[in-house]
Amino acid sequence: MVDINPSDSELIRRAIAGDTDAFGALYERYMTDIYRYIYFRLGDARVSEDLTGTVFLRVWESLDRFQPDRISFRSWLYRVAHNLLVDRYRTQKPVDRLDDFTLHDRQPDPEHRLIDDEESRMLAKAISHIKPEYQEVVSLRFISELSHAETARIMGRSEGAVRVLQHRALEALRRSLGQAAKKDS
Amino acid sequence: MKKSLDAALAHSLEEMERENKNLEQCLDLYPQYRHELEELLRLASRLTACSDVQPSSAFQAQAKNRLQAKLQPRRAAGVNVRDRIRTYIEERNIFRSRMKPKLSWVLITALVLMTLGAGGAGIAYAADGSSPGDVLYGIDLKLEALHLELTSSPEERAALALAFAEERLVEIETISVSGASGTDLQQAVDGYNFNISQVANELASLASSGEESRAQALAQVLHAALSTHSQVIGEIRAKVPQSLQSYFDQAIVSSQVGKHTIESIFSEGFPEGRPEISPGGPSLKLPEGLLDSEAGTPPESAPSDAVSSLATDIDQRISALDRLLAEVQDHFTASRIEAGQAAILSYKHDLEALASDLSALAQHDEAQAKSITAQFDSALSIHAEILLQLVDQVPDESRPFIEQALNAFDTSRQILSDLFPEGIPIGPPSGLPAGRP
Repeated sequence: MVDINPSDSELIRRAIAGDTDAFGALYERYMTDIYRYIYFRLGDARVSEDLTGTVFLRVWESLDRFQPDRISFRSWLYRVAHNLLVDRYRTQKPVDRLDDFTLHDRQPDPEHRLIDDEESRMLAKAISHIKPEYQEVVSLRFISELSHAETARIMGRSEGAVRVLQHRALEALRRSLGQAAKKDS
Repeated sequence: MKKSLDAALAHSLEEMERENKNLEQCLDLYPQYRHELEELLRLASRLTACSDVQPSSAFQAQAKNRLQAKLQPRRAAGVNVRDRIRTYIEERNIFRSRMKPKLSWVLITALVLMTLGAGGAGIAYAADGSSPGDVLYGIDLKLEALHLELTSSPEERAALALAFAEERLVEIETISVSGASGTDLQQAVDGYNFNISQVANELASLASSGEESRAQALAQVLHAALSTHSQVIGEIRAKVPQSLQSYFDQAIVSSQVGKHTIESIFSEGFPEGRPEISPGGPSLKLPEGLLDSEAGTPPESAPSDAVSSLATDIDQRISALDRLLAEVQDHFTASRIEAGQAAILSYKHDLEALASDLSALAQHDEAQAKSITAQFDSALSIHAEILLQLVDQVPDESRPFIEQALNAFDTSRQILSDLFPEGIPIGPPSGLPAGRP
């Protein structure tokens, strides 16, 4: 009987053996998570889609080195995405995220979608004004909804450091939103 | 006070995430922070509500097929740098009687650590095999340094340093395929460069002690090993994305410089003659003065491919200098003061080396050097602005480090001005005060 919902470890085992369908299944399972994480760091839908594909290509190339006893597959994906973004920040100027901030396929109801898009746009604009490591912790903890422990593993920091960092990040974001509101008024 | 609020916020968020507690329930847990927590928790909830953003339908529909079409069969397991180098060493019986297995040095250093009360065995085993970015990597490097100090014979020290350099190559390969950051890759490459400089030091020390036959035997082995390194690094380089290739170029230059150094020491009696020489050497992280000897001076008329190789190397190192300065900024922005100070010293060193190598290039290919100098000068203009901003931003104790870099910057600009006093428009960069000495 075919397992209609195989576990990550089963799919990884098959992918390591060269099964591209199994890797495709992993891709479908985590593509949106990784896209969302990248999207809230860059604010550019097309670039985020390209980078999402790049993350999975890198993972495919190094799949036989994956150590499940050290890190979960999902955390590993975020870590690869994080490193890709760090390299990108170092080698390129940031994209003009505010003018290009568009959201996709969120709510079927156009009115709800409009309201939520406006909220997301405002938050994304505020996120773009805080320090990169604050952006990182905000994206991982609240947009990707990862635990303190997972966030710590991906960022290469202790859980305690992540707790402190998330407080500072939220404070910085609150100030950024406040300044934006003052400007608008 | 502040720390308690961090903890209260973290705990409240966990209660909301895991126990589905609502805002009021969480605020009741910490009445003393009610006002501060309420704002932060509401903001966290607003962010979480944004988490349903998805890629476009078109992307989702085609993404899997597009990805699968790009998937290449992975190489067969086991054909990696470590195996290549081990095969090479085994085939040639190199160091068989001299190299201790890695396990033994881990045990020796573990014993030393235990003697010092550090409970070293577990740490040593865990640290060995760690990679840049791992918490234990620093311990791994310290254990290697300790083992070198405990080794008395120059041949054994050279063999060990070469083995450590090969560990770095394994790390470079591992990092490249596992998608780690450029910072980690740079750390491994710097480690490789450093280990190769140790190898060259040991050889120079043996040669200068009058042990010429022992030094020649060692030189022959090291030269062959470094040739393999260059080849292996080149093979990995061909497989990595273009954005990572400059890191490999640095390692290739280092292995070539190591070979050049060996050839320089034995310029009259090198057993295999003098293979091609890369004059990219003076940028090396090799002992100062080692290449300044008569034998080490690059030939008057260097081969054109070697000159071209040096030009390419300088070109890539200018880009690497940009990245290094970005790292400096990152470290200071994140209050990693010691890392920032170390990075700015590396920047200063690399900057001086680049200016020196440009001078060397100008002796062989003036047009090429002129073109690169224009590019270098343009990059330096931007660097000056960044450095001057940093002087105002960093803590007081870090200012002397930035000042050192600024001094190196001024010296480098002077070297460039002297090289092309008429041809290159080298004026004060826009951000540089006119009166700076």
